[in-house]
Amino acid sequence: MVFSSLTFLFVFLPVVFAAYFLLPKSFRNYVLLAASVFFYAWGEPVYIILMVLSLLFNYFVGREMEEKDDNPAARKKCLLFALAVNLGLLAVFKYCTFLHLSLPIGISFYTFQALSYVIDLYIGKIRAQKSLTAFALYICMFPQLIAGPIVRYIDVEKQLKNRTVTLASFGSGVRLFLVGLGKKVLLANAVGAVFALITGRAASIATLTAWVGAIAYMLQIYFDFSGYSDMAIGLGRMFGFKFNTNFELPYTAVTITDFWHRWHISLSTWFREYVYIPLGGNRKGVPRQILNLLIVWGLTGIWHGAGLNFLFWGLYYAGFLILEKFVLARFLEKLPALLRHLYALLIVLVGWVFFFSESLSGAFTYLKSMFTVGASGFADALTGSSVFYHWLLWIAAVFACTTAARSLRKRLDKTRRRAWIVNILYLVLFFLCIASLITESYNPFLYFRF
Amino acid sequence: MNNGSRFTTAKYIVTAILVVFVLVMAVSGRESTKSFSEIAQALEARTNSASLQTAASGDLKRLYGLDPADYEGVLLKTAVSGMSAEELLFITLKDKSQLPAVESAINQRLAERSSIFEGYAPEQARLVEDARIITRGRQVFLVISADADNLSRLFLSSL
Repeated sequence: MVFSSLTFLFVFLPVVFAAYFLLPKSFRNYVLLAASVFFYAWGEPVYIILMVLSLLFNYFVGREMEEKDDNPAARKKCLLFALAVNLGLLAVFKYCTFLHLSLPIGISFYTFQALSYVIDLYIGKIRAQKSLTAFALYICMFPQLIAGPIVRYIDVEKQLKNRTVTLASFGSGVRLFLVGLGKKVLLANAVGAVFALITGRAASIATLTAWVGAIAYMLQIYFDFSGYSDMAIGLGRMFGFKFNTNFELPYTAVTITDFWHRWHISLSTWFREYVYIPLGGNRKGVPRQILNLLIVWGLTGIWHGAGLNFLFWGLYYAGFLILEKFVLARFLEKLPALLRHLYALLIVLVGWVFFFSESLSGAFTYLKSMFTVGASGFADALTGSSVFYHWLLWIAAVFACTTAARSLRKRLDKTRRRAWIVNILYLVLFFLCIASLITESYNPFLYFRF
Repeated sequence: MNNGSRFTTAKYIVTAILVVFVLVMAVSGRESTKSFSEIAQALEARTNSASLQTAASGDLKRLYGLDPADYEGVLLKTAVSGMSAEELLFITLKDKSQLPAVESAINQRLAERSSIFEGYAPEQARLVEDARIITRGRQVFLVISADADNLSRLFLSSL
């Protein structure tokens, strides 16, 4: 089941809300857990077994580790075994393509959540969760189960036991959910259609059309993924959870370092906390720091998939992050903000070509279309139609990436006088999304494939 | 038995079940719980459109440049009328490595169909532009139709 489906919006969600708020508070975790299992089983009736086994495994690991509190060697053995099983499962389903296993939805996300729990437990940052219900809810809570954000146990530990929902927090959750729904349904799907149209003719694309296609994907993946995150965080708020921000206007970044402080924050935080820092981070000299960055970004790349293009994509960013850190930082600081911004956007745009291409060679072929004039010339009929036919969409999409859009929304949300007008605006947004959904084709979220 | 060993035992039991689960999935081929013929039959039964006809055996080669013998199964339906862009293609790959070639052939076919119809039948060209391509594991599905949305859902539900 996806958030942007009529079944979710008009059947699943109302039933869950009714049960959650009408039953006594002590039932709330059970309601959310049952809803989450149903939500996952709707799309993955077989792989629900895998998820349940995974969460049971990590629950028992947690309890065992706590029981062996006074035995560091046993705890270490326990941690290593847990790492092997969790990463082994991920490897089998994600990277052993010769087995022809389809990818269980959300496995990368819930496995990383489980790992954060086990590692933090080993380090001693947290205590083991004794309630199986609370632990199961942490692993498979439906708002963030299948496409993040990756929630660390330490961040929701208290909320799993005790949380409150006020009318204001519920309302703010609804608004954020609607913003996310709008990003996905009205913007991501529309720019995605432009991207599909252009790449459907990948055999020969005019230079400018290739640029339009790459920009369309750049916008699609942002609205698709950040839209999902907004919906997840918004849903969390409606149930009393506070999840951390996952996107912070990434396309306003002025450097690549800045971009990665704003894009998929929960994933970069995870790699920083559980890979980069344990490897020594920047504490063991420059050569080691460079190696650590290469390892982390190589892993970030292949977290997205087994293809060489993903590995290259990760290392591509490692290269720029290393360059910025050791070479470009002083130079970039002297540049006007606009130039720095254009630099960051260009690097990110080229990065997305590696990301959306099916193979490394496909990526280079597409880049060749962007940077050289081929058989189709500099521009063709498709350039004009994809830009001018969708002019309103482009304006709306670019505006929605800016700080101006964020400020406007914040101002609207804070409006006390005539708040009803703001509510009507959100209602209009909702109806526009529904109208679009009714006529929409099958269109899952891009990040489901990870 | 103290608690420590109880949880250790439970952990190993769950690990064993996980291993069995993975093995069963790998052996049974999770992504193809249904065979090509089962999916094709479901599609045939529910796409009994008068405007589509099952293509001749050589048509996959002629239209897409693909050899049907290379794949586990192929279902190709083309428009009865030469004035229509309607088309449905369902292929079960033998191996996922065949996917890029099939996708490229589909894109090529769409580009050709689009350029053919662009001049004199813009509504048909639009259908080509709105074609749905769905890939699920080794199953590849293409549909060019005014009813593409429903046919796509039908395909997904038949998996």
